[in-house]
Amino acid sequence: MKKQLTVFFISVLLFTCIIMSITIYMDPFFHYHAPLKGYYYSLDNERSQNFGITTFWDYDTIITGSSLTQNYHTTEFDEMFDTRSIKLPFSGATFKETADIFKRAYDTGHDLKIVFRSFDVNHLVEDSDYVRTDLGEYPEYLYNDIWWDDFPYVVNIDILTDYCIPMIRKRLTHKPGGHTSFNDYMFGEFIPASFAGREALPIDNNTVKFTVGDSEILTDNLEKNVLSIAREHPETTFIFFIPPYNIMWWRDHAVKGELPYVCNVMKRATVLLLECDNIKLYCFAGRTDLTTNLSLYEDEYHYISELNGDILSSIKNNECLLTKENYIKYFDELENYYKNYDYVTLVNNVNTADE
Amino acid sequence: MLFNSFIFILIFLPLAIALYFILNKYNPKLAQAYLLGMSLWFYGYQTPEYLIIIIASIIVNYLLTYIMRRSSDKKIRLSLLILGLILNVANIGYYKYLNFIKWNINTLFGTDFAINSIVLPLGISFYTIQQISFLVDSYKNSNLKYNFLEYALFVTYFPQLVAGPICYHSEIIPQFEDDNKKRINSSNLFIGLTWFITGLAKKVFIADILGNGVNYAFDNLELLGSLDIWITSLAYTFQIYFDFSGYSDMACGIAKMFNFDLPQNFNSPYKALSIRDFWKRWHMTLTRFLTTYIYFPLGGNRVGAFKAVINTLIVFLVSGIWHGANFTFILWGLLHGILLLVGRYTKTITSKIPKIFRWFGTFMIVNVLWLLFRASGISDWIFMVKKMFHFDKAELSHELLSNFDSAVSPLLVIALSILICIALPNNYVRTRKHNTFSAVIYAALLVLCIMTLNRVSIFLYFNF
Repeated sequence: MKKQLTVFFISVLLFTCIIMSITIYMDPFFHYHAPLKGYYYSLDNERSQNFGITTFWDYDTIITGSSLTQNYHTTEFDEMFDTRSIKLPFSGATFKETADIFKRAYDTGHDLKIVFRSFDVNHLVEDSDYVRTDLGEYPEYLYNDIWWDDFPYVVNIDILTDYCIPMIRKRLTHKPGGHTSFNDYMFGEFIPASFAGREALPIDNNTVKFTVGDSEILTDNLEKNVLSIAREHPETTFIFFIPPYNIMWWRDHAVKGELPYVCNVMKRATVLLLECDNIKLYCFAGRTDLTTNLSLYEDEYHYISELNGDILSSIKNNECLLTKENYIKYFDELENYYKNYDYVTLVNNVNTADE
Repeated sequence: MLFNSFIFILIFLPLAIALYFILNKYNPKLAQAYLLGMSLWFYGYQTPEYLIIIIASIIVNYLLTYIMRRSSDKKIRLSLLILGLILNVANIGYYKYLNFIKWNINTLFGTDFAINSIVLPLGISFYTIQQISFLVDSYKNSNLKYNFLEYALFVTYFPQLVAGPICYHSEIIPQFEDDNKKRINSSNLFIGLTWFITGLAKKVFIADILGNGVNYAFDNLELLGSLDIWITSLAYTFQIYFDFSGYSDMACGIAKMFNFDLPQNFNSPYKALSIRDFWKRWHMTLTRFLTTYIYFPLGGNRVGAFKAVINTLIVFLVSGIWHGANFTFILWGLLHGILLLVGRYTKTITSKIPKIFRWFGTFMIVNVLWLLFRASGISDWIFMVKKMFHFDKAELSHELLSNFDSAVSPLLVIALSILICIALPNNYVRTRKHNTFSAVIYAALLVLCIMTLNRVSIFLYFNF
């Protein structure tokens, strides 16, 4: 059996080397090199591909953040701001995940002109090291330069069958190379939502407090994942926007007594961001013409992609910009508006319309 | 640690084998201690806290048997045996059954005992009954003189630790001591590798694929038509077989690489012609344990027809309870027991039925009862069985088929499973001649299996 054993081990080694070579050469997650000319790369796995794109692609601007940035068109952005952008969103992105992207971009010698991101309020009071392990196994081996932990990537049946083989097939059938356009790389088709089914509850006046502990967590999160990076790179303009969450989002917080809490979170974050001259924070929570029009939304967060163009135009024209001078008044008015909104009538109307 | 993980295949197993044989050259006791250390690493890899429970259990059981062996007083020996049995049952009872008991008391008497989440230590059902068998044997035979290292290694020996086969000390410990087994044997190494790879392939390419669809089906019972439930039942029937027998193949294969033989756990169970026949072929080491340590001590079938019936039902009740703390397992065990008895007492009639019908009847009973085994409640099972025979929809749900998440049709996987289970001889019967070509094929299969390991899966029998 010694002969069979020898043949067995040599064959295992040989087959493994072949598989590894194919993956390393094609590199569909850009862990080793930039995309090869002549091959078509599908961009469909944010948490596996974004880090590699950041490392090896050529760009001067990053569009990132949560799913609320997935529908931005890089071409539209580039036309408005004269940039060469790449889009690197993460569904349910945490601040740590986006910070890793910024740091990687700088570490790999990219001079960033603009960093554009959604400023996701729901992830502000969160541990500064939190990443979304709840969405599936986090591919940590793609987030470092250690070669010996790459085995799950280079010897992986999904990589071979779902990425490498289709790439080779397209190449052999003379399909043009390239990659999924960032314009086509989207959150999904817009499906108008029904917001019916909620109870017509009044605002809860037993308000949830924004504690000193919450403030410390928020400060630590922003300091480590935003402010320190912005301070280190004054040459980059960081454009953040608080999205126009819809009126049902506000209602859900209001009936749970969280309205002052949410406004305090936004206010505290704004105070911190405004300390950095190269951070510009735009807030669309006050665009009540959008937030109260439920036909624009497919859930409490996500809106039709056409609004992205409006948001970019507003930013270009410096509309909705928060400054040291206006932010207190802005958030007071914001809280006042959503506190006094007639949610009972809203819910009744929505429920009646749905019947 | 899982057998189907990178760390096990690429680091743990090569390290365990290589150093074990190297140490055996110089100091066999050190080699045994090393194997014990590796087994504890294997066991505590994911949850080190489990080590405290298993080590405490080993020490207590060993001390009891040690004192038992030294005592010639029958009363003391019997007291120690009873104490040991109580402690072992209490240990498994706390982790596995306490919440179930509390829930039943709360339901029956309106009490309010808190149901706390208790994490079930890995393989506790397996190592507990293995230690109970040693305790009983030590009571019967005071000449069992194993040292602590041998005993601890017998309980923790990693290939069989978390999901069997359930071994007796008499078939394992003498192998640890056998000088002929202390040198690497290329023939055993290669045969062990082929068994391991076969088991891994069963798990990865059949059980896990079928499991995807089964999970979807059991989470969405309301959406299923009768044909869907038939497919689900077949998928689960083959999932549990390929999963568990795949694990047993891997365990036996690993042991073989160390030159050790573990007992056979499966003998083509889906070829059975009766329920009795099925239990002679399915999880054979559990059946052996229940027969030796419960059925025979109760008197077996030599104590009159009525008592034999009761004894059989007790054995199957224990089997059901052993499998899990839920009425589904208890009913599953009892139904198997009742149907075995029906088969026993109608043997003269059923033996005249052509084999193909007997096989089909047995397979269908086993198939329907597996649904009960998998269901989260008896009502779910009744709902499924009723629906199975309604024949309300003649087409399969697209969602069910797509949730198998398989490159080939799940129906083809099921058909292939039937073919493998019915038409092919099993590992133990088949006499394979290995040549260079088969070495290349096994190498390719191993690499293919390793490539799928990024999709993490859990073995079904770990929680029993």
